[in-house]
Order: sequence, then C-alpha cells, then structure tokens
Amino acid sequence: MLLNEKTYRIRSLYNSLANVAQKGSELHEKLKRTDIKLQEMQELMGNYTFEISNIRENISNIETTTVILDQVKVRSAGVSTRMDNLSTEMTNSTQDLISEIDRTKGILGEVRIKSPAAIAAPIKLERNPVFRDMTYLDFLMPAIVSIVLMFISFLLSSITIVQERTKKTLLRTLLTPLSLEEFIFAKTSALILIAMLQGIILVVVAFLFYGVLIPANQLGLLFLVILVYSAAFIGIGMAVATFAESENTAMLSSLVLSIPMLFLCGVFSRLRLCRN
Amino acid sequence: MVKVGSAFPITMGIQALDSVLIYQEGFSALTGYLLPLLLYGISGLGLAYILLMKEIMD
Repeated sequence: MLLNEKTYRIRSLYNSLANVAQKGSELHEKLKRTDIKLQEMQELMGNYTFEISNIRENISNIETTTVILDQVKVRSAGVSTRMDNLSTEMTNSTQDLISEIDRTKGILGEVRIKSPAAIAAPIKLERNPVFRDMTYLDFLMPAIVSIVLMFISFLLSSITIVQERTKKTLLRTLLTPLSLEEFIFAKTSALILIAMLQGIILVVVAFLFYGVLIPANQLGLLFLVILVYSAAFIGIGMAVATFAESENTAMLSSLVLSIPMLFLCGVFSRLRLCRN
Repeated sequence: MVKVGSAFPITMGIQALDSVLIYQEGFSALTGYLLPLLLYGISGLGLAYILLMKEIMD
C-alpha cells in the first residue's frame, strides 16, 4: 500500500517532471523564437535607422533647396522690379518716339508746302565775320612792322657801335665829361627815335597806299610797343657789336641772329598751329 | 621748336602788335609781351656796357 502510494507519487512526480521538461522544452523553443524575433527586430531597427538617416539627409537637402529657393525668390523680385522699370522706360521711349514721328510728320507736311528751292537747300548759311571790315593786309601789318623794325634796330645799333669802336671815336667821346652810361643812353635814344620815325612812316604808307587804317585809340599803344620792341633789339644789337671786330662782322652777326628768329617767329608758317 | 620760337623778341613783338592792331586789346594784355622785351633790352644794354667798359679799361 505504501509502496503503491510511493510509486504513485513517484509516477506523479515523474509525470510532473515530464510536464516540467515538456514545458521547459516549450519555453526553450519560445526563447529561440523570441531570439529570432529579436534578431529580426534588430535588423528592422537597423533598417529603420538607415532610413531615418536617409530621411535626415533628405530633410537637409530640402532645407538647402528652400534657402536656394528663397534666394531665387529675392533675385526674381529684383528682376521683376527691373523689368517694371524697363517696361516703364520702354513706354516712355515709345511715347517719345510716337511724338517725334508725329513732329516729323508735321515737318514733312510743312516741307511739302514749301517751294522746291527750300527743299533743295534746306540749310541756310549765314556768315558772321569776327573781324569786320579787315583785309588780309590788316593781318600782315604787325609782321611787316616788326620785321622792318627788327632789321633797322639790329643793324643800325650794331653798325654804329662798331664804327665808334673801329674809328676810335668812342674813346675820344669818352675823354670828354660824357660817361659811358650817358653815351649808351644817348645812342639808344637816338636809335629809338629813328625806329619811331620808321614806325610813323610805316603807318602813313600803310594808310595812304594800302588803305590800312589804325584806330586812333590804339596809336598810343602801337608806339609804346614800337618803343619797347626797338629798345630790345637795340640792346641786343649793341651787345653783338661789342663782340664784332668790323662792320661786316657786325652786320653778318646780326643777320645770323635775326634770320633764324625770323623763320621761327611764325610769320611764314604758323608754328602755334602745328601738331606737337 | 614752338617754345623756342615764342621766346624770341620778334615773336613777342609780333604778338604784341597783333593784340594792338588786330584784336585791339588794352594795355593789360600787352604787359605779358612788353616785360620780356624790356628784359631783353636791359640785358643787352647791360652786356654792351660791361664789355665796352672792359674794352676801354684795357
């Protein structure tokens, strides 16, 4: 009886153990399935993480695109403003053009009314001379006066001083109470007087023979210029005469100095008008 | 060459006579020509005086 009980207990324990073993094996299978599911979930998580990173990249790309689109929007606003201005200008230009065409039509209508001579020569030329009542001789007069006075003053002063030196009259004159300064002053004054007389003769001849009339209010200035101009050449002529040994040398020296000056002064060719 | 030519006394004289006879300007326009001409005259006379004085003293 006791044995039967124990056997029964052992059997029931055995059955329980078998049940436990069965349940353990079931649990083991469930754990295996759970592991598989976890692995699958891990794979899914990895896929989701990759997709999330892709989504982030896409979002950053979208943000960059949005910024670019904003810039494009701002630029397009500027372009639209410019286009508006351009269209306004085009409208104004078109209106101006229309008004010009209308005006031209009016002018053409007027031209049709005019005579054929006016159409053949539509431009009228009116001469408005700057120097009224002046001839070519009036423009030559300053050059003639200056050339004549230059040669007279230059040659006379150099020749007279050389003569005084070569004929020893300068020394004799200076033996008198006359000083050298007074001698030079007297010579210069005499030569200036001769030059003034030459100037008067030139003015009279120009008036009588060529009809060149000098205004009366300019005569004072003319003789002032003649005085200073002849004084300058008398001074240079006297300086040249002190280097010369004879009259011929003085005359040739004066010519050597005066002729290049004559060609470079612009009487024969207007050097001031030359290029460079 | 033009600058050299315009520095000569004959050029200044012609320009001065141009301004008097053609353009009929006043005295103020002439001073630019008359002062260099005076300078030429005074320097020439001064040089002549110095050289003549030296010659007489020798």
